[in-house]
Amino acid sequence: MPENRNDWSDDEFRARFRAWLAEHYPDAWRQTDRRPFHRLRGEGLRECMRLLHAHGWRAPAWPREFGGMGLSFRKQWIYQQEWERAGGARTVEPGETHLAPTLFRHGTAAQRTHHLPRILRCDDLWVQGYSEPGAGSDLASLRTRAVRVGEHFIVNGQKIWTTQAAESTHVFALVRTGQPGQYPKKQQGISFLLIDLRSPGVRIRPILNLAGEDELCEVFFNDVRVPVADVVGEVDEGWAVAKSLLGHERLWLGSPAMAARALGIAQRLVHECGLAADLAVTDRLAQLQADLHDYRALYTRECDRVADLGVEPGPEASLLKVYVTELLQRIVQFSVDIAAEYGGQTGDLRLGDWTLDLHWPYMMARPGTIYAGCNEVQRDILAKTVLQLAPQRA
Amino acid sequence: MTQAESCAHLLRDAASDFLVDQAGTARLRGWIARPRPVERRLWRQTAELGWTGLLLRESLGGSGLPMADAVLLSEVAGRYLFAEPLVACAVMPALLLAAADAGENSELTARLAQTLVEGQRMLAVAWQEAPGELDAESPRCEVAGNRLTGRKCFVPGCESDAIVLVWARLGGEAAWVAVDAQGEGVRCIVEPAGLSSQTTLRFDQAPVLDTLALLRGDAARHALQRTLAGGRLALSGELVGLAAGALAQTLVHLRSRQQFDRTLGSFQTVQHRCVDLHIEIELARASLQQALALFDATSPAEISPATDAAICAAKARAGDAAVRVGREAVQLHGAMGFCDEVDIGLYLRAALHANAWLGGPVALRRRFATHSIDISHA
Repeated sequence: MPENRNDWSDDEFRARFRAWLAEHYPDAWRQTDRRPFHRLRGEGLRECMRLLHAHGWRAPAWPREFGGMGLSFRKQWIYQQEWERAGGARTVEPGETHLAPTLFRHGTAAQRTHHLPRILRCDDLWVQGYSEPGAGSDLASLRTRAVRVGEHFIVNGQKIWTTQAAESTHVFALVRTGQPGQYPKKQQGISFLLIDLRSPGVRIRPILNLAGEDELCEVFFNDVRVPVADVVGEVDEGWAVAKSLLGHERLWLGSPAMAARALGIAQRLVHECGLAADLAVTDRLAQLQADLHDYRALYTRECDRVADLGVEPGPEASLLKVYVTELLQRIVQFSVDIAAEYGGQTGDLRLGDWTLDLHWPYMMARPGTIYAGCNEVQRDILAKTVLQLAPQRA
Repeated sequence: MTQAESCAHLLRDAASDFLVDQAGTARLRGWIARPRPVERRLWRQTAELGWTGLLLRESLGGSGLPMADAVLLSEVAGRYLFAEPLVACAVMPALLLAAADAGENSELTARLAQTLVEGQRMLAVAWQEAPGELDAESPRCEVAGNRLTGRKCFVPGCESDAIVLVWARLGGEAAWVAVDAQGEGVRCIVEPAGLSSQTTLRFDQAPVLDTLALLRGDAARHALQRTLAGGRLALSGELVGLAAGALAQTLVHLRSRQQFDRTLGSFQTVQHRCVDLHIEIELARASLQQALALFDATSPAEISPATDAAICAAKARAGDAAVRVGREAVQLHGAMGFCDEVDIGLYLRAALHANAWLGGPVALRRRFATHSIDISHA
């Protein structure tokens, strides 16, 4: 077994990861002012994860017995901070962050033995298949159906917003296995199913988004055969399996990194546009700076609490995501506003020797308030759980 | 729970109990456009509880508690609409006297500390000379021949028998001197503000107590900085308390009041507004705690730019939060919110004053921004 990096002090851990990133992390994968929230995908993602794996920096949250780093929450947080400080690309790798924790808790020994090493090595790239055209924030309304025939489920239906499905190999999906009318609540009769995207009957169509990226996909299932052994947890109990995923995700969703990067650009833009003496502009900038400053204090407080007390973040932590995603939108709006006609320009923009893109981050700031439970739903939940206001319908 | 945390809990509970029992809100009504004097009975009681001398070290008769406890107490005071000048006439004078303790007039300092601890007379701090000033580095008030001449404004808690600690010039350098408001050459113009008052003071050859300065030069300047910084922190605590108190009271209303056969709190638009108010309060709390952790009340050195920036951000946030919650709480109470007999308007009125005093959000954020702290990384 490799050395246990949890044994290092927090300071040493920070210093060594920072040094490693400086030495080994390729510039091509860093954030730029053209692509300030750059995200790796496909082969780039594989290469990045394999590089981390080769140097023992892969899967910081996994227990060591499964090949992860087994880091304490505080060290995971430091890991995150250093990654963001180095301008590391954003990554979406639900195999590591979502499926694996589900398998730790609900998977069989055979499922763990088969899948976990393949995830670590990026032999398989997983995507999350939850949302459907009629089941977004109201996920439990999902209709993709799996009918058991012998030792297989036959899957029919459609998933949507499956990030990076086109370059991935597998999807973990929520599908309806209960009979119509079998259960009183729509959260019942759902199963958590592992599906090979290369199976016959799977069709994937990328969706172009407002920033010109095609990460999001639709996935169609037409009589797709999935072995019964690929159900995680009990059949019809998939809702509970999927819900147990959340955990620290509520905190990572609240990371101030994107807002900080956008604000860095906004600050420079004020100077490049010759507006540093315009009080209307600098007052708005100061407000945004103070907002980020205060938000960092709140984010730090919540992370400290989880690190110090060893507790899981509760529903109150979702206020982080609500605030920071909207802050990011206010920052990119500010940049577009002060840039005058340049604010309407799409694609690269050259101001002196500075090349940036205002439109790309403006559009990439949109989905944060929509995904992972849109902010309206998050506010509903916060009102109920934190403020103890009655649900809207009795 | 650490020892500091359990002490904080005790203090919070004791303070809440006292305020609920002894400091009802009826005394705060009927004072619009009239300066409400300090409720001296209540002030003496808080002195007996040790609130006025909270920050003074034990040799000066105080409790020697840390700044965090003063902030906590201020928060409880805001939450229960104490409305007496705890920040202006206890926290700020204590910080000033703590600094003066090492100064050149320790005998007068000790006597003023005793006055503060006993609570029979008020101690007021007069530093400001113009609206919107954030620090008043160069005062125009001048002491010559042991007599003070000049003008100070926006001094809370300046009762007619107060002893006023005045920031002034003396022999070419800055100094703190003490003046008896009842003495010759002092004129007070008391204006109504918030739930109490603020006073403009005119000094015309007013005699300086003991003919001596409490502090002079850099020591006096640093004491001003620390007094203002600590005052802003405690006032932020009070503002957070005002915001939290107004929201809590609003939530109680929304959970019980029925319209259209359902509780008001079950309407989504109402819920979402409350969530946003809650987020503002949490941001203010977090910002305040971070600023508090940076502030060292006992250090004689200058306040660092990072500390000053954090304090400015915290006060701006807390002020915005309290005014916003107060304003929206009035709306969420419906017509009742517009009635004087419901406490919610008192929260808003108190917030307006506390937000404006010691720097409003726009000015504080400008100052925060001039420190150009690197915000791109934690």
